[in-house]
Amino acid sequence: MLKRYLIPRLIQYLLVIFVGVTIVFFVPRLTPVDPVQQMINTITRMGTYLDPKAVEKMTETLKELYGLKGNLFEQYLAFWGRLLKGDFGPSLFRFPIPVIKLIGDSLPWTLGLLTISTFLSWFIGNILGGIVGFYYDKRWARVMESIAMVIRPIPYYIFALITLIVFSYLLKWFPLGGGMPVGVVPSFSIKFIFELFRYAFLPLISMMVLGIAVTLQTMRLIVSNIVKEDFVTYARAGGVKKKIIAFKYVIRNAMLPQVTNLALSMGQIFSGALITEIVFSYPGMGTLLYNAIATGDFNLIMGIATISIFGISTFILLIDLLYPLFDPRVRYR
Amino acid sequence: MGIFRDLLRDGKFRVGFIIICLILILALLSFVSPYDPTRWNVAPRDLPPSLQHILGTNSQGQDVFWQLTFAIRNSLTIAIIAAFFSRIIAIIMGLVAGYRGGRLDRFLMGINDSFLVLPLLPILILISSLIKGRLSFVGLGLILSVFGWSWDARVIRSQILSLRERDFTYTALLSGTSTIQLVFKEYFPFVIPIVFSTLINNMSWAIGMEITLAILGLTNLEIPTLGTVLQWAISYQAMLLGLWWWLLTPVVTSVLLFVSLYLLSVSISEYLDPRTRIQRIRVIKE
Amino acid sequence: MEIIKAENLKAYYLLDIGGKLHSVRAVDNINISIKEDEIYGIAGESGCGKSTLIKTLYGMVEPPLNVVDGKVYYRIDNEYKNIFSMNGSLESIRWNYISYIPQGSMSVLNPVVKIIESFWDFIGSHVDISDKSTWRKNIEEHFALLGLPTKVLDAYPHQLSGGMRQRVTIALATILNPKIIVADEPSTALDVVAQRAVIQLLKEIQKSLKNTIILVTHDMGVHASISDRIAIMYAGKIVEEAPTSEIFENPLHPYTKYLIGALPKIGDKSYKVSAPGAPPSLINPPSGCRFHPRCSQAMEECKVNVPELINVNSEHRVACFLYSKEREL
Ligand SMILES: Nc1ncnc2c1ncn2[C@@H]1O[C@H](COP(=O)(O)OP(=O)(O)OP(=O)(O)O)[C@@H](O)[C@H]1O
Ligand code: SF4
Ligand SMILES: [Mg+2]
Repeated sequence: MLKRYLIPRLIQYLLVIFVGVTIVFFVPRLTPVDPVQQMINTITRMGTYLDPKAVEKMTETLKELYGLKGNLFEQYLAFWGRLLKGDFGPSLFRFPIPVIKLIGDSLPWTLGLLTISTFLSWFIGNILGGIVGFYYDKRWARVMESIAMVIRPIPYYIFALITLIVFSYLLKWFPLGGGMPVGVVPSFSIKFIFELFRYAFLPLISMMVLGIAVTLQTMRLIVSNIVKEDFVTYARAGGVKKKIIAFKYVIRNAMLPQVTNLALSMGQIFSGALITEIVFSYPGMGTLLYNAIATGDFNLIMGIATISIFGISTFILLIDLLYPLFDPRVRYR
Repeated sequence: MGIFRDLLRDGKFRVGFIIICLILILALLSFVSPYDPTRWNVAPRDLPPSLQHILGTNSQGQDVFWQLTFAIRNSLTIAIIAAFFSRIIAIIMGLVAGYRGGRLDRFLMGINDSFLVLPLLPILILISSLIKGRLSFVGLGLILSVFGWSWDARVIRSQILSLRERDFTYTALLSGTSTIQLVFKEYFPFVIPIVFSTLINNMSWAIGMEITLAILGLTNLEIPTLGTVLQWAISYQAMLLGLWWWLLTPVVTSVLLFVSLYLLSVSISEYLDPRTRIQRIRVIKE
Repeated sequence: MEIIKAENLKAYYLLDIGGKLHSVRAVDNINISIKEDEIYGIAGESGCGKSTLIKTLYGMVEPPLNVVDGKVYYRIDNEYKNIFSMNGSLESIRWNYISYIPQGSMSVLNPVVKIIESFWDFIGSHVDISDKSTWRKNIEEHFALLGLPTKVLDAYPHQLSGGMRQRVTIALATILNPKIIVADEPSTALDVVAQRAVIQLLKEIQKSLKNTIILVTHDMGVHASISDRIAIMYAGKIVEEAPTSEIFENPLHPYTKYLIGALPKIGDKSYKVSAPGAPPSLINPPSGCRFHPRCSQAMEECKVNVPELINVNSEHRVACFLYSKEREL
């Protein structure tokens, strides 16, 4: 099991990181723009308070970081060396705070939003999709699928925007944005947690509704094939109770491919989380990214892109490692 | 035509087809627009919908309806460019990996899966933030195509794998057909339907990406697209100013566009899937 | 005493292909009655409707399969009940009264749970299993009786060999000691050794439990060794029915003769050929006697009229114009 299951996945893990980081390395080289010069411009445009020496020093650092020293291969190796140390250089916008520190500050918000919405919508979507698939001859099941079918193709941005307009602008039930009330000091009080939840609610809901719609629909398709499997037909022939068949036979088995699907769509979900944060100005990596774009903070953008690559592929590896827990066919081979 | 008639029997396809036709008509109307979409102040500002300006005007003094027609046309063009070129990459990857098999297959699929799971948005942002503003919409389409092929390459590969097992591969090889000929003559007829069914999904993805990048201010805001129209409305605070027609027009249009494209793709891939084709043989109850 | 009877049973697959209605007449006007404490064999080439017939007898009729006509009776508490008017209560007699071993039971067990869980699901849906330890003991005893190691209960299906899975399925179908067991090709997919073991197993179960087994297999050798009576099916119809020895010693229907002729006989190295050609399409079966295009003795009458299944003696029925002039109306 170790050899046949684990090793290919570890290799794929390393390959994803390799491909991602390589893209990040080559992108600045393939575009007609000189990122270092552009960054220097950005900084000098922002203020004259930097003395020329500091600018020179930073030019050096940047050149080193973006590989204008040595031949291409040396540059590439140096790039890797810095990444593995977590050194993405300073933020240009909030100079000289290191990029890694800024990312570290906003990461918990994104992680919270992402994990809660992903797991809840995966779970709810699968149960609903399983039930819809199992009772597909019922009217309500088809109605539910049609609803999912209309919601599913809407991009995260548009859906978040609609949610914001309806619930914050028009109904005024929720705050217009942010992660917590201005001026409140974080604490473990009930009130604070409630406020956190109130601010997180719309971003969460907007991500979850989309997530549930996608999961529901794929699950429905998987179930429509599983119900034709021999072991389901046989359980029905044996008069096994419908509820047992629905959950223990159909849904339980249909969830297995859904674990893999979750791993495959993690990149998209993450991108969706970034966008949703931007719409609700939720203080996670998405908003950080937005500010980085607005201020031309190339260092920060690159840091976020790289961290995302590492994060997502690790997350996928984790799911892959957990998979055998659900599937005895992998566990005992 | 027979296929089309079969597809029209599916309610999903009918709805999707009607909406997409309406949207296409809008896109075509752009050719007879009385306005130049890049010019400002060609109409009074901030007018609500009226007979003269059926979707009102915006704060830039443009007619929202005619602006929309250009936006749809450009968004669809970007989507078609992206989908077209990514299909070429997908076909090559899928054919080569599936046909050659072995180590090369494993290597290519490793790369493929990497593209599949990578968080594309940050990477696309990285790219477009470097060439910000200079990006023509053809360029944007091309960039999107570089990242939008991996899923379809996988699907094509597995189709090739199953075709390889069939007799005609061996017969053809024995009778001395060259690989290229074999691939084009024998495999293409089976690959084309897949390419077509994934094409729509890919277009949908590209349109969504364009909107996202435009919102972030990373595309050329001078060219009207669904994304840039929305971006202008948001940056002018259309919602707060009560100019709902300005904001709602791109939102509603894109929702309709996405839903209709999705319905078409679901319907077509159901049609192509042999398993559901059997299901379509309607079961009669006494 | 008859325990299960079918009268004028017609079960068709109704399909709508491209707007046109088609019916696959897989079970077409069948009359049989099966006695208590017997193994009733059903034989015939692939596609002749054997599985459809016993699914219908078992009451597992789901679209596209439809019962267009006829009745199936079970004798429950000395009363004949038409199962098609029983509705919900059919579920409740399953496994207690009648159980089913499906064709190709390689994948009939839930792959993600242990074998014992499948037993809990099947048993627990019909009887009270709150006393799990006693039930576990019962199951283990049943396993021992069938020569199955009890540690199999804690294995997952994919860990067992095909023969083992088949035997587990048989154990599952017999655990509640049902009066009727319907078995569809229980030994077909197995290797010769496992095949013999499974057949032996069924035989022993029947001997000790004195219940009724309806056994479908196209393998006449299996029928020879285990069935008490045999019905020969061809293209959706029963063409001959008689006790096993009678079928083998005195086959009447030309099709039966072909089937038996296809058996390798001891001392006879030359395999006799089966009837030329293949079974007909059941969407559009041949007119008259459905066997006539393949029958060497076919007469003019055979192309026009359908021979009725008539008794040639009290135990032997045949549907062929060589033996009677009676036709189905
Ligand atoms: N679900 C179905 N839909 C349509 N036709 C079917 C279906 N199942 C079976 N048939 C058709 O009904 C006929 C009888 O099938 P059946 O499975 O009863 O045959 P069988 O005698 O059990 O054959 P085998 O020995 O191969 O199991 C066949 O012609 C088959 O094609
Ligand atoms: S009825 Fe005629 S065709 Fe049919 S089996 Fe008898 S002889 Fe042959
Ligand atoms: Mg069968």
